[in-house]
Amino acid sequence: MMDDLKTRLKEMLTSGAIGMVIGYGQKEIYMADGSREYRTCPVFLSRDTEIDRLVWNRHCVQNLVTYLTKEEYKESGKIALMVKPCDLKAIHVLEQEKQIDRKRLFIIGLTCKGVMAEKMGIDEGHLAGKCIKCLDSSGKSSAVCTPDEADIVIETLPDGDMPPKGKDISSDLEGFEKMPSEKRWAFWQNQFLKCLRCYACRSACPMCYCEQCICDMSRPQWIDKSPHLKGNFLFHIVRAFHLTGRCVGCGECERVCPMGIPLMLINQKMIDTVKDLYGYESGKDPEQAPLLSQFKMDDDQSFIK
Amino acid sequence: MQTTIETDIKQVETMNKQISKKAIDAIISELTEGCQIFAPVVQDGIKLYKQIESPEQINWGHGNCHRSLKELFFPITEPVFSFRQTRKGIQIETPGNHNKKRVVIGARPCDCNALSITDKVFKWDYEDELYLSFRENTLIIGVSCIQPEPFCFCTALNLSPFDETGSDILLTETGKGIYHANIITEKGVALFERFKEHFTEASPDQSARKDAMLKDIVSKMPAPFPMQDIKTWLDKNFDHPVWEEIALGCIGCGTCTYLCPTCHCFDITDESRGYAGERLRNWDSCAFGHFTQMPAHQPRPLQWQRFRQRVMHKFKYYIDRFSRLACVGCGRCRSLCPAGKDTVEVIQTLQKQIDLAETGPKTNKKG
Ligand code: SF4
Ligand code: SF4
Ligand code: SF4
Ligand code: SF4
Repeated sequence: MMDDLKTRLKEMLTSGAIGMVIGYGQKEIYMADGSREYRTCPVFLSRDTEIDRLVWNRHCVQNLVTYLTKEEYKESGKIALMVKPCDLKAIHVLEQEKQIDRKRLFIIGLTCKGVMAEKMGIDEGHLAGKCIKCLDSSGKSSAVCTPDEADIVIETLPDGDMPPKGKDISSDLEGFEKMPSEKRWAFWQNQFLKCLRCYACRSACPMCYCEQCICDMSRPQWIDKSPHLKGNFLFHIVRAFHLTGRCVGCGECERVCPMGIPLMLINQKMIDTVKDLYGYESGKDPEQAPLLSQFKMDDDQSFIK
Repeated sequence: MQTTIETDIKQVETMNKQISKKAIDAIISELTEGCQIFAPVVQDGIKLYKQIESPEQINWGHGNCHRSLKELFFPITEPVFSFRQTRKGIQIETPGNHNKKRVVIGARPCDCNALSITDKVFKWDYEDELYLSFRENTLIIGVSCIQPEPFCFCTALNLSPFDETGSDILLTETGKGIYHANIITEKGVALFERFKEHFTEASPDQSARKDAMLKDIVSKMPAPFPMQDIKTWLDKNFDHPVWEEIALGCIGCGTCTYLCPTCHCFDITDESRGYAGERLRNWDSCAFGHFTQMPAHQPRPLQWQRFRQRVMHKFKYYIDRFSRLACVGCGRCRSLCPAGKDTVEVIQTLQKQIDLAETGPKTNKKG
């Protein structure tokens, strides 16, 4: 299947049907002990001769949808993008929010059996927390892109044995919620004390595309810009609110956080809350109206006190 | 402009001593009275320089702290002064925590060396009191790397895992629980004099052993890159089309600059409530779009222009101004970039451009 894909992409690049492929590739990196290692990273290919660099494996972790709203890639013509089923949801949200033109996209939908957990640049040796729910007990995956969502579907699954599953994000959250409130408070104080306000979580998030983020404003300064505990709490509360009903749980924010702050706990809580209260799942359907722009008479209003 | 790259600040005649781990602990315990001690500490799975109360808290493991040593001299956020409006006018107060005596133990040579780089900018056209008073009042006991981390490349920049620059005393573990101690600066000598009884002379054996260890470690690490040639290429190729390609994929997250021991950009912000408040300085990064945003103009609207700035600053501008590279090869940027960008790869790509320019057809310059 990868071969068919590569042939097709080469043709499309040559004919000008697409201007660039954003996918996963491998590169050799130089290690301190003189050895060379291979690292899977995003690649940006605009020449047909480069297409053979594409790979699809368990280290294709990064959500490439993020690039679609970045200024640098807007002039690249039609983009062919490698997307995992969970990443596809981010495309749907961007479509809902009228941020991208589906016609400018050629979606390479990947069938997925889970990718590795990465934290602070390190492969954790088990599957990412978000992946567990895509797999049943026998390891069979429900993470598929259907042909009406993707322009081409890649059925090849990552080779190799199943890595250890690791912990499911929902069970992490469950455990966390069992802690008494003082403990939870202390937990977040500890975590947010580490936050540098580098905003890597924001840069990596496909949903954080605002040209002017409220967190950067200085006149007026709505949110303390300094990375002290108060400012950090404010930032993280605002981040959570602005992503409620929009976050698709791709896990990028947590993966890129150089301080290893477990942001997915917050995201998953918001995802669950929105689902419980309004039966809404972000990114499920590109046609649905965004959560915050719909209102039904029977909406739960218990939060108004 | 042709400027040579220096790698070291003035070297003083160093004293070679020997000390046991136990004696180090004893010194630290004694120093906790009257001094603030900072050392690598692992908490929640992440190693950071933290203030400690006793030597048991120190993490002596290999590898560097996640955030570099610069944060002890140039904190992530720091009040420059506080202000209060009163009937008599505005009262200004400057922070008073800069005069406490401090000792850092367990810093890696690259981090220590990086301070000799940031020193240049913080006492350049303006003497930065905050940074310099921290520097003045801090003694640094560095620890050589006998097991470099996978992403380290100090040797490629002509530095060494046993580099003495920036440390007042440098410890090198030459046997189990035994450290070779170079006493490097006057501050180091003063500490040595105070705790003389804990040190012994380093035997010729031990010094030889240390040299052999260094030779072995360096032989495996990357050989020096032609940084001088790269600087010359950078002098001429600000507009080269390769920049756009080099930067592809960078999401502008700033991780590389925040974790870098030599990056030193900051932002100033006022925070006030009612009649009182503070002026703070916070880390900032050239990777961010709003870093150069001005009311009417944005000189670096695209990410590749910001990426180029980072490379230029490290490998050209800093040399022009201070004759130093603004990189010590600690590898933090390469190991943590979420998009797999790699400073070593950047250097290699530039090297390829030089080779191409010498042998192959000249690349088109952009307008
Ligand atoms: S949570 Fe992490 S990624 Fe986000 S601003 Fe804080 S340190 Fe940066
Ligand atoms: S908030 Fe985090 S998990 Fe949610 S969409 Fe953004 S990057 Fe993905
Ligand atoms: S860490 Fe990587 S993605 Fe982030 S700003 Fe630096 S080069 Fe760009
Ligand atoms: S540029 Fe990278 S390798 Fe060089 S000093 Fe900074 S973080 Fe370390």
